[in-house]
Amino acid sequence: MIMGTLIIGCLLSGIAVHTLFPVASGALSGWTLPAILSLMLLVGFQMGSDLSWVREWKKHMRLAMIVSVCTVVGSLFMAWCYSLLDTALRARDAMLVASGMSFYSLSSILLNQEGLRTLSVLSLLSNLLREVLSLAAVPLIVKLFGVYAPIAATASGSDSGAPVITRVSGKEYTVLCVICAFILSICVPVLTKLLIIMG
Amino acid sequence: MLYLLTIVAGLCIGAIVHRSRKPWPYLSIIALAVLLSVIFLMGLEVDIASVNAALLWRAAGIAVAAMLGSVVCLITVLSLLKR
Repeated sequence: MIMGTLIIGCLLSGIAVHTLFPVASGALSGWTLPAILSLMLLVGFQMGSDLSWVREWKKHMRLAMIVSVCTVVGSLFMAWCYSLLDTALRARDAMLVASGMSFYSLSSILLNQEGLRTLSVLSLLSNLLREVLSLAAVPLIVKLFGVYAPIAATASGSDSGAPVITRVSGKEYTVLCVICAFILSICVPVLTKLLIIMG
Repeated sequence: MLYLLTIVAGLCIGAIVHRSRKPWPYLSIIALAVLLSVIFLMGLEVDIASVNAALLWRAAGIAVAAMLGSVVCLITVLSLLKR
């Protein structure tokens, strides 16, 4: 709850600064790349500083690969299906948004760097909503679809959401959450670039 | 590629720090501060004029579709593997 409030507060502050002080906003925008690189470095640092997941990697590897591949394929396929319903949205654009895998900070910045500003805003909102909705619905998802389903639903947010998921599914799924989040986090820039290149 | 390399570099640095067994109590606070600053910077990129009800509905639609798609794909594959 506190975390959610902080995230929304920072986002709204950024929007307010952009609207009220456009000159300052332009100057601050130059810090985006160093900030996102610091974030990436810290993601890696956190993974490296607790190597317990490496010891259990082999045990969970097969299942982690199945969950990760299904998450990517299912997300992209359903985004494509959604674009058939929403005729104003191109299939590639819907898939680009879904390729964020709930990693809202990275996916929106990647799209913004490619000059896709409207899609960047859509990606930010959509992936933020995916993380919030999936974490809020963990008990329901476990009840309806089983213990592995919340990991697929939260996608790359399953590491930060691990306390919520393991409270419902069980503690033995913590490592699986972390490994899947790691694989899916790495997939985000690759998928985004690939979809942009494919045009 | 740059992002992937940065994650791998961070992983290597983290592993080295972990091996040296030096305590790193401020890591989670630094990570939170960086995450929040990235979100603030993302807010700077948002043009409020482009955010409307249609965009919000579309964002929610894609989010729910992607979420359900991944769950359905996973339970289908797992049930096929069980057989």
